[in-house]
Amino acid sequence: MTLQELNLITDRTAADVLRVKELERKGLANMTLSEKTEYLNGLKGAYNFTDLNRVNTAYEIIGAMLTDIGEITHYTVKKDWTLYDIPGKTQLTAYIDIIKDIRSRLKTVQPLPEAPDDVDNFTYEEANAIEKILLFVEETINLIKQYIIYSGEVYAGEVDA
Amino acid sequence: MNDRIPTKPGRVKLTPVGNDFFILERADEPTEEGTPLNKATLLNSENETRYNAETPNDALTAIGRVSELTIPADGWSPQPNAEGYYIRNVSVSWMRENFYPQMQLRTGTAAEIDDQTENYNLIKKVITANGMLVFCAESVPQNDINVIITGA
Repeated sequence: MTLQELNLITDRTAADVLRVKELERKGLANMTLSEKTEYLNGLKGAYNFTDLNRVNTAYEIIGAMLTDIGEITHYTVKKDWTLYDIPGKTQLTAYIDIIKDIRSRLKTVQPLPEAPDDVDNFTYEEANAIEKILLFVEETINLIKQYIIYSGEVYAGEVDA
Repeated sequence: MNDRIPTKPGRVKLTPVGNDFFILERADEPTEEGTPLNKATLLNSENETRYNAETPNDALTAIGRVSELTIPADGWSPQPNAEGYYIRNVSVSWMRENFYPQMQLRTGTAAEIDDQTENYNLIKKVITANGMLVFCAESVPQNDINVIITGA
């Protein structure tokens, strides 16, 4: 699987968050059928199990890509969150720690957004930042992989420091 | 580590991307791709941290390092710590807390070795720290102890 297949979300807006609040105020019982469908299919302005599963899967992919280029990682990810699970503080802290670690590994082509400090008062900008970091790091790893020199191709002193 | 074995050495494919720029790709049709020369094969992040090294040479230097050291008979803590050990810090500039060096008594005359072995055996634990080794002894050694520290 690639990050492209995961359809990472990096464009959440304040309007997306307001839409969630609006529907929550209304309550499931008072929603129209289309609103119910919209609400239950995962709203961009909400952060729930689908986001955790998507990002954890992306962590696993990026972790393997980093290891492949010599940045060894040992991330423990959980990719089977369900609607009924409530992540604990420790799990959410580990979730943020992984993106902090990924962010610290490489000097990327594009400047990276800051990783969230923690999950307290988690904002849509922070949610976007996590997935932007993943995409930018993937882009950089792919560029690094394109520029490989193999044993036997160069001699000592041929390449400037 | 395997060298690349091309059947058409030096042959490349140039694809124009405009404004006098080209993408250069190998087209040497190798029978053996070869081992990439990169961070993964030369010094991965775990070994970088493990040996406090920026280059493979740094890592090899750390692994092969040999230092002679004297653990003085004076300067030990006057009282044992909570674990029951007397403590003596000895400065070792290259030491890092994540190193796992080996230690052995430095050889000398038979009489010196006998004398030092008794003191050496009092040391029950050695802790690595940045810039020093921390020696933990069950009682305070009565003589200097000369040791050899190797590796990282």
